[in-house]
Amino acid sequence: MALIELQNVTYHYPYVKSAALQDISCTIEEGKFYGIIGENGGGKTSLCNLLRGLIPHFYQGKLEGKVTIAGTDVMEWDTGKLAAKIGYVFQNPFTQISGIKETVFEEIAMGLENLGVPKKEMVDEVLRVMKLLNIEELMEKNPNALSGGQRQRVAFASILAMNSDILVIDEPTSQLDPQGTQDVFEIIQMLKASGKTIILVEHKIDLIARYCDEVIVMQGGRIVKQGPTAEVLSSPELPELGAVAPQVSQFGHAMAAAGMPLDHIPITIEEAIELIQKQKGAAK
Amino acid sequence: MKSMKMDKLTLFLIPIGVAVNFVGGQIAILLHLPLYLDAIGTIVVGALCGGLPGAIVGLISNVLNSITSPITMAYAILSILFGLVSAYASKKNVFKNLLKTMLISLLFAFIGGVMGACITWLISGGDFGPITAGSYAAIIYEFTKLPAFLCQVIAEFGMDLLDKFVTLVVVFFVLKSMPNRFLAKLPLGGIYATEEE
Amino acid sequence: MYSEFVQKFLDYQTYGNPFKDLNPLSKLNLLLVLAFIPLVAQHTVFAFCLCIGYYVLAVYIGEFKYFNGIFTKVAITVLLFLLILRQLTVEGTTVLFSVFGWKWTLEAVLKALDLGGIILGFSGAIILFYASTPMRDLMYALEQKGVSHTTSYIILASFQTITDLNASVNTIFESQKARGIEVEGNILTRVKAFFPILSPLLLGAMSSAEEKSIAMDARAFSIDTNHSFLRELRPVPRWEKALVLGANVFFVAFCVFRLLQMFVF
Repeated sequence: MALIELQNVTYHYPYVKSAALQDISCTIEEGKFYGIIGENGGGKTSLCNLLRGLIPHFYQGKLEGKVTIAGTDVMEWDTGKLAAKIGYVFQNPFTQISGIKETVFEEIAMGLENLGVPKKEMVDEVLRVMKLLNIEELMEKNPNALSGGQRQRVAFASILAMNSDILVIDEPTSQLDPQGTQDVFEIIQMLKASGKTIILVEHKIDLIARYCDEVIVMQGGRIVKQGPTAEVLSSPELPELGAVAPQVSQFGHAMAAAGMPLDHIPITIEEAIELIQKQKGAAK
Repeated sequence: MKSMKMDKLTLFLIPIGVAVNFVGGQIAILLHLPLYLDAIGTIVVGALCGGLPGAIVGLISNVLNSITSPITMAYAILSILFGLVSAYASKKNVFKNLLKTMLISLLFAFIGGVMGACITWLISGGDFGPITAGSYAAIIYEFTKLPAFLCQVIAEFGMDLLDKFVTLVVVFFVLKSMPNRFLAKLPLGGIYATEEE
Repeated sequence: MYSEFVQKFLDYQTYGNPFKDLNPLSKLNLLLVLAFIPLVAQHTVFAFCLCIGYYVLAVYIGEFKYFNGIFTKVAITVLLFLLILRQLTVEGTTVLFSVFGWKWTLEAVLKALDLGGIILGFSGAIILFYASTPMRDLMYALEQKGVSHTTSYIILASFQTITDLNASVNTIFESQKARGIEVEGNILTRVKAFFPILSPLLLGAMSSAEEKSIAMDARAFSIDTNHSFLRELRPVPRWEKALVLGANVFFVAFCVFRLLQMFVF
């Protein structure tokens, strides 16, 4: 089922002549995991803002085209309700800490307090997400005194605790080391398995390749390519569109250029190994 | 609907206005300036977001000051007036012109100095108050033998005029340096925005 | 089955001290009654006794250091100013001593102490209130009385923002100095240095406000439902309500008595 539908959307930020988004059309379906990639300034964050209704409600400016979220036109949504329906985690972990709570435990519980969740449930839910994100040892710490990476996990946990059906996640791993990044992706994978719709902006292309169902490529405020992950990421024109291709697909193209094409272009390392073994087997 | 959204950003600017009031004072100390510079946040928020938000910034700053100096509470009305007057001046385009901005410091100094002196006089039982300006007033009194109340007014107004003059010049440049994309979201931001590419 | 830390949230928040555990609003009410008594009573000795009483309470709640730190500063400033200033304006005949021909009179000293007592009697109560009440408890109590959670957020966030900006001031101060902005010299030079220090701080903070409002909205900040509270204070016991009522009745009666004393007798 189409959860979010964009039809020929063009958007200008206020007082800016050039459009931040141009003629965007796409459909976000329930339960799928979408990756948004592309060059910096290409409109990824603007697209996120559009998907969560911040455009046009918060940013004002000029919006043309049609945006429908869960069957209702975006202009008719109450922004408070919409914000709570669509969970949102973004890059800067510092602004995502409320600044009014003295412990990480209370910080994570804040969204639930705002929703009026009874205390016992609230406590159990906070404990659950802390365990999930492996931040139980931060429980009693002051959230305003944490490192960037710790804050990023706390911010993520705070949103997860609210259990929204749709999650828009804008570079959640910018402050994390490779292990932390891997962990976060596995959590996102689990969320997807539990039926949530996920829209992720991420530079780490190999992880996009491994986990996402569909990929959207943005360039110059336009969607220049979208479709199933394997199809988009194996496309040879990816570098021209300002996006980085996974190393193994670059390898696949190189093999083809060298006259030894693989069965198809791989996008993950496992897939590449499998294809090479198959080719070797065939050669023998 | 539209105005409600804008109010939301305003809401999150209030704590920043309060903090800027405090930090302004702290920078003044770091630079060894004989000024308070503790109303910049109130005036900036008033100018960009309107009278009520400005007044709230003033009031909260006053309450927080009272934690370490309870007598400050008596002057709360002045902080509130700074926010209200700032919004009024902003709507009259005063802060778009440096000369007008400098002139309006007279009004702010009148509030802070003359009305302030009246409050001092009231809470001090009709005599010099136990604040810094009180000692200047006493010096003026000793040398001129003018009426004591007039001396308190002259002292407080004089101190405040210098302070508010610098404050408002700072406010002028702060408003001028505000990026458009940000101004667009504030109730009175349109006054300061300019069209760009 | 919960850790001690988590279990504390399931119970009411208490400090194990009867005075500290009073509901913040009851405490404020009681202390305000005390704060205004010196003004109504116009009795200097009583006012200073009250100040000693504040000290006793401060020790009792274990906040002597905090209370003393602020109260002495206020007391010294107020008394010093008043003692000197009143010598200039109050005509007195009883000369206590003279400094380089400047005669200090008893009348002026008493006048200074009169006002000093009223100001300190008031200030002490307020300082003691903040000493015994964390701001978040006060906000909780106010929210229970129908104050919106946004008001509560604004006030609590102000504290953190002050801490954050203060931390940045020194960094920016040093870096602007390194970039050649003169922070010493005549007053005009120093005034000029003010803007380049404040401006990046202010603009940075303001643009973070934008993200903060988005982030807080994602935490259901703008939803109009009844909130629940992770930290809860105990419901106000009957005896506490009676105590507050008693204090208020006493205060009103005392005011009436003083008015009669002034105008009738």
